[in-house]
Amino acid sequence: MRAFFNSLSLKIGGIIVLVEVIALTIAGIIYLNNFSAQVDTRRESTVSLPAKLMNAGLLDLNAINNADTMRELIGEDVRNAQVAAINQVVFFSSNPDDIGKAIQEIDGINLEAFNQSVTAVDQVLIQNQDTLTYVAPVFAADGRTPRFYVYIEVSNAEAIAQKSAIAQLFILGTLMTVAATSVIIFFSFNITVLRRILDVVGTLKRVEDGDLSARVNERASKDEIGQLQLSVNSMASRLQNLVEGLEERVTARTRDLAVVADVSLRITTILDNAKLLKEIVTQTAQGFTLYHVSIFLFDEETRRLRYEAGNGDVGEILKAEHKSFTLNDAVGLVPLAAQRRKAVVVNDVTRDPNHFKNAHLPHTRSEATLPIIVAGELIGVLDLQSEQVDRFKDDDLRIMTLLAEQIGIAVQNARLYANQVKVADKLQALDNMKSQFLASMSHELRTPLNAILNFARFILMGLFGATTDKQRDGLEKIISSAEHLLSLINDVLDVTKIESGMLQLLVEDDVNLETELRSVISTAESLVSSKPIQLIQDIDDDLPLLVGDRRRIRQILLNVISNACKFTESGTITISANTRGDEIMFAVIDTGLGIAADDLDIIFEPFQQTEHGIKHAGGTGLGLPISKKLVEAHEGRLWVESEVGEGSSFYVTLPIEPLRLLEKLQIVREKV
Amino acid sequence: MFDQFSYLYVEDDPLSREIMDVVMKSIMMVKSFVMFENSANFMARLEALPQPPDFILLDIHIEPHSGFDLLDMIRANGAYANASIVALTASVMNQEVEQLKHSGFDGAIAKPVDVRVFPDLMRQIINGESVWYIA
Repeated sequence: MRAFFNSLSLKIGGIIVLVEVIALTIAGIIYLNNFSAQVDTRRESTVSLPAKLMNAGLLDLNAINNADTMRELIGEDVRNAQVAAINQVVFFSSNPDDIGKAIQEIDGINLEAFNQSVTAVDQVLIQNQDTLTYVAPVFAADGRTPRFYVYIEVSNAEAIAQKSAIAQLFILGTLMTVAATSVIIFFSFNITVLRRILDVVGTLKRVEDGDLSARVNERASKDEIGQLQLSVNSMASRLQNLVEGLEERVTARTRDLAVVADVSLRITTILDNAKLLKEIVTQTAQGFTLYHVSIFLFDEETRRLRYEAGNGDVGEILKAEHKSFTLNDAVGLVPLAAQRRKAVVVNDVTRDPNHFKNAHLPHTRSEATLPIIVAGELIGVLDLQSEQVDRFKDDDLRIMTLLAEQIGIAVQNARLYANQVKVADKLQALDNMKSQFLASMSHELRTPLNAILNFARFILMGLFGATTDKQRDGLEKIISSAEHLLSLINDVLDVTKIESGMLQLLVEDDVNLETELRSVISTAESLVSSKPIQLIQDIDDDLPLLVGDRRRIRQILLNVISNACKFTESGTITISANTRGDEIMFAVIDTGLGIAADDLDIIFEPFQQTEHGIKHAGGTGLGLPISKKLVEAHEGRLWVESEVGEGSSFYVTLPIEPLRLLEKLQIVREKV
Repeated sequence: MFDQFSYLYVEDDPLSREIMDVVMKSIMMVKSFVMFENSANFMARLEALPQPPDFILLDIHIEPHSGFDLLDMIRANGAYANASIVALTASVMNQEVEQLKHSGFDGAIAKPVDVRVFPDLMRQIINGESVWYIA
């Protein structure tokens, strides 16, 4: 129902009906007025007829008496008809009773009309609401002298009724016309306009909902709606083409992107440059269905673009031919792309002189070359060739540029990787050289020095004959210096090994701490023999055997104890070794100079000696740092507590069975 | 006590030989001390000795046969079953030491030899101890 009230039908129909009604009403009014006037005119003439006839002598005056005659002449019922003489006495009348009376005495006579006629000696017509009154003189033969007056009065009722009937007829007619036209308009509007418009609306709705194939049923009508239909259909067709076109493009691009992603994925895993490039060109040719895909790499030195890889057998052939371009070659899209650093596309090679015709690739019809640039540097050129004309559109180029970028990154990665491998190899080689050096140096340096020491000792011992005091003195100096040199060499070599992480422990599982201590302490005794120092020992009886490097453990003990001897002038040096759970606690407590708080850390740093230390020559400054590293290599700890003037206490803890060392030992044993 | 035994030392370095010579003869007072400069024709030369040595000191890196080879050769010959065979080595790697232990040496002493402790080491070996004195 609402649809109806909103409908064009109602609006237009309403307008038309309104216009109709107005028009018909106006027409009606005009017509009715006209009709009314005509009726009146006719009545005026017919009512005057009897008088005229009488004047013409065609009608007897006594015809007034005959109602039927009157009716015939006038056409309507006479209400009052009189013929009066000039003395105003009625001679003839429609009412016989009136005859002989003076006209003034008769009821209902319009005396005014009568008198006017008499006065004017002319006809008088007076129209009232109810009646039409006509008075006219009947002249004598001379035509001038009035002899009688005819008085005719006709009721308006009939006329009114007539007019009224016509009006009613007219109204009825109007209504029926309106009704009929409404229906006709409604139906014809519906058929010619509304239905067709609704059809168009329906089609548009279907298109809106996604059915791009919806069309309006066209009838070959050339009217405006016909044009609308045509337009809507053509628009829908265009839309459909556009969308389908777009969808096709999107599908194609998505597929291309998938190819690029796939190629990228594969090539990122290949680090061998040759394999990488071959894989790229093969995948690209396949994924994009291209006739030939090749990659040229730019050689900085020769400034040439060399053919490095191409798909298929042709690729192998061309590579074997060492095909290449210089940057400035006049013909060839490959050098052109490299020069311009921009993609170059020729969609019909037969029309472009730039295309380099390769004998092995006769079917090429379109070609695109893209520069491969990474971080501003030209790496090479990607060359794509197709057997189809117009293969490379803007969308394709975008995808290919993306691919070229990926290729650039992959090639760069492969190169970097190759470099890294080279560098790693070099580093490894250097490392090997270094450890070989250290290993041989140790031996090479020690051997002659040992010879010096041994022979000097032999001579000192008198094994090569008697010696003078001076000679012995000299030999002692030689020996002492050589020993010092030896310890320097050992320390420096140790520090070097430690710093390069090449310290290797010779691990044994039966290091007898007691034995080592005893040997070290006897050395200490000779160091303090000249000073008023008492050596106190607090060594457990049942020290367990340690897992560790015997020589290094001795080195640690000797270092700590000899330091105490060096920096104590008088008092005591207490050497203790006790088992504490799963480790051995070894301590050397002296009453020597002590170490300043600031220096407590420095003493463990290589090549540093404290103020006091420097005064006491004969050290390398490496003893403690080396000892610390050695202790840590044994999974133990070395630390000091000291105060200036109060002496120093050095503590070493060594696990009895350091796990890592044990493991290493076991591994080595298993191998053997 | 050292003079009761006879010693063989296989060493290619002249200085080392000379040092050992002094130690053996002048310090340890050894009477029977022979040195080979190399290991060519080793077994033949060994058998040609007037006395089978009680102690054989082998430089591991001798040529043409290495200390290991010589060890095998000696052990294969029952005549030298009682000899104490000691390796002299410059290596201080766990790997080699384990190899030495595993191969059947009775001991190993680091090179260059510390002449101050060498006699003690020999004493230990005489007492039947295995000596692994790698410096």
